[in-house]
Amino acid sequence: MRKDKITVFSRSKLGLDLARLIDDPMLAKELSPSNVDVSYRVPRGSLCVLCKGARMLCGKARCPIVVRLTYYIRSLSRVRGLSLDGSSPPSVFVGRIGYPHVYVGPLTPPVHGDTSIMDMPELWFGKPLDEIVEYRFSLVRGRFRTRVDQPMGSNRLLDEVRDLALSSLSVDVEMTFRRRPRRVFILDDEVQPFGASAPVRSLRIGTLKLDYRLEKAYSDYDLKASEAVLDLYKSGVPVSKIQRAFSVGAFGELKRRRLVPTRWSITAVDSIVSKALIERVKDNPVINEYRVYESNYLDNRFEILMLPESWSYESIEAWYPGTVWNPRGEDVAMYGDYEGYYGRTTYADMGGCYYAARLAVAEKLVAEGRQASVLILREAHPGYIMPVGVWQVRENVRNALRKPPLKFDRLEDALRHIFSKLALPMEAWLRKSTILRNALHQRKLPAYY
Amino acid sequence: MVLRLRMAEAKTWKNMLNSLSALVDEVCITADEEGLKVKAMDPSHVSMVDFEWSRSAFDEYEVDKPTTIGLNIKEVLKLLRRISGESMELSFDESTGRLEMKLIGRYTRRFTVSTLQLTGEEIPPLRVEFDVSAKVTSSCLERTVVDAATVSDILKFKATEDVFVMEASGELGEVTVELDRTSEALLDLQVRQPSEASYSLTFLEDIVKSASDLAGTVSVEFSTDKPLKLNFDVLQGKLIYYIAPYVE
Repeated sequence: MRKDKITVFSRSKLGLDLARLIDDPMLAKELSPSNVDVSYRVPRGSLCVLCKGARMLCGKARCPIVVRLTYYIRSLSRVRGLSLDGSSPPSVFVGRIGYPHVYVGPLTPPVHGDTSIMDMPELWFGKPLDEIVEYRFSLVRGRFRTRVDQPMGSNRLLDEVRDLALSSLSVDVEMTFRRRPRRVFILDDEVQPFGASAPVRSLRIGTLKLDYRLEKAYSDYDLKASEAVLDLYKSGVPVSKIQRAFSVGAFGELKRRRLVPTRWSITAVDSIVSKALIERVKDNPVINEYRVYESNYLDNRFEILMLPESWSYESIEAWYPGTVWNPRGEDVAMYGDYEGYYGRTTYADMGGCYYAARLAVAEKLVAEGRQASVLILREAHPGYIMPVGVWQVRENVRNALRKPPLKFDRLEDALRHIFSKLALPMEAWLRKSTILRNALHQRKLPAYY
Repeated sequence: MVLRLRMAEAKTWKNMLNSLSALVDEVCITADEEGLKVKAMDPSHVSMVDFEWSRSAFDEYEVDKPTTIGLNIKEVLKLLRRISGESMELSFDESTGRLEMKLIGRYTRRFTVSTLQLTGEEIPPLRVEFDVSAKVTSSCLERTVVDAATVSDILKFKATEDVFVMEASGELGEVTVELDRTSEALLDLQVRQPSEASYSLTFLEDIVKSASDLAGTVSVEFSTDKPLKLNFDVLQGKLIYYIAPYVE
């Protein structure tokens, strides 16, 4: 996640109309919101107002705002009036603003049927960006405010949402809203795609079939949340399902159960599971060679290096390197975090991606029964016009590790290959990477026996 | 089989485990008629500890045959967090594999922990000659290492005829500590030939923080681009660390 992009938003809500936003008259007409309510908010220093989707000032391959608006309007034009009737994948969202008083609610598209793919990132890999943005925008979010530690049975809406999150299949949902669903468009190119939302007046949920594994953990009032997560992972429940149930506070000792903002719960599950897997990795024999795994999806290039050493892990990401668009010239935005054999005690600065990739890596090493030191290098290129979520990293790394690796006897050869695939030169990565620097410069004691 | 040790200060045992925890979470302690011994290398093979605590350090020392005890020091140290001025009796039951730590103060506390089956590999001795040997106060070394770690992850040691220098530089700035023969912190300096070598501050920091409480002075020995030896002057035994060099 790019941290320098979290700018202060100007409080004024500008009623820009689309013609002011988008220069292309045909496009503006097509997107013109006849019956859809759109308003905008402009962060300070935003280039989007100057650019109007025509000048490509952000340097991306396509205008992310035009893409988002297209799917937003397409989806909302199907929602009439103050009610929505559709099948939830199932999906719920728990906000983080105002914690411990947060917005919670179900996400539902205005269509019926099996919509499960809309909230199942495990199935998204390989799909074009537009399809994923469309999934995101089709989901209309009903919301209400509640305390995170609201006890079970004390808020009917919340109880319904919790049940929904545990469902194994898509669920019919009828929502009525206090006002029409809408969305404030933030004119910044770094905002994650998200559909419209509205305060819920009432909620009706169709017949549920709870996932029996989730239900078992849910009804165990003495099982700790982290143990529940691990049990479910071991029994093969996809991470996205565990995370959804985790976010509605379905796990843990009864009195300690609480809602967990969606964003935090994703990382919590990635972190809990990978930490347990890493302990198993440490008992495995070390690999015998240098390995390189690769994947490229949504213009995110991953080069993964495994070194024949005891477990350690590092992940580094570079944003839009080597393009003239990089706002600070040579100073490419790079973030990285490292942990040694005994792990880390502080939260990784780069955020959720660190833990998502760590999970993918640990899964691979456990499956193969080997141990290694792992370095993940990621370059996000201009075709990645907006962040789509941490799942992209998890699935991209999983994809890389599914393929047979390139094997090298010498570190130099592995590095030569890697840096022939990346836009940034080795020196730039070296400045950031503890694992690379150690591999090249740190001697080992057995050399002096 | 009998293994029973008694020490007047339970803190001694805690400090000893602390000095090992800088490198490893699990450790294999050997007890024989001379005392307790540990030789361990961290998982990345960059640093090593060579530790001996002679039997004279204990008020009572009873070992009838050489025994090895595998311990998860991290867990044991958690139990030892709340000790204060108590004396301690250690005993190991080989048949159950349990180690008992009996803390005797105003009342008696008995901690029993299970030990681990560790397959400790024999670590051969290092074959390194040291061209420089500098004896410094451990508080000086500790302060230097902590200061240096704020600007860099590498600390460079340099020595010429009369000066011993430790320096680190990074994006933030530089830290230089220069000790000549007149400085109080430098107790002795022997230089066979001018040398310089760099070492990882990650390891240095962990080591120096946990060991400098045990000894007032430490001998810093190194040669150009060869391993570093930190020999802490502990009273009854030895505490030596080695760190492999960082070669630019």
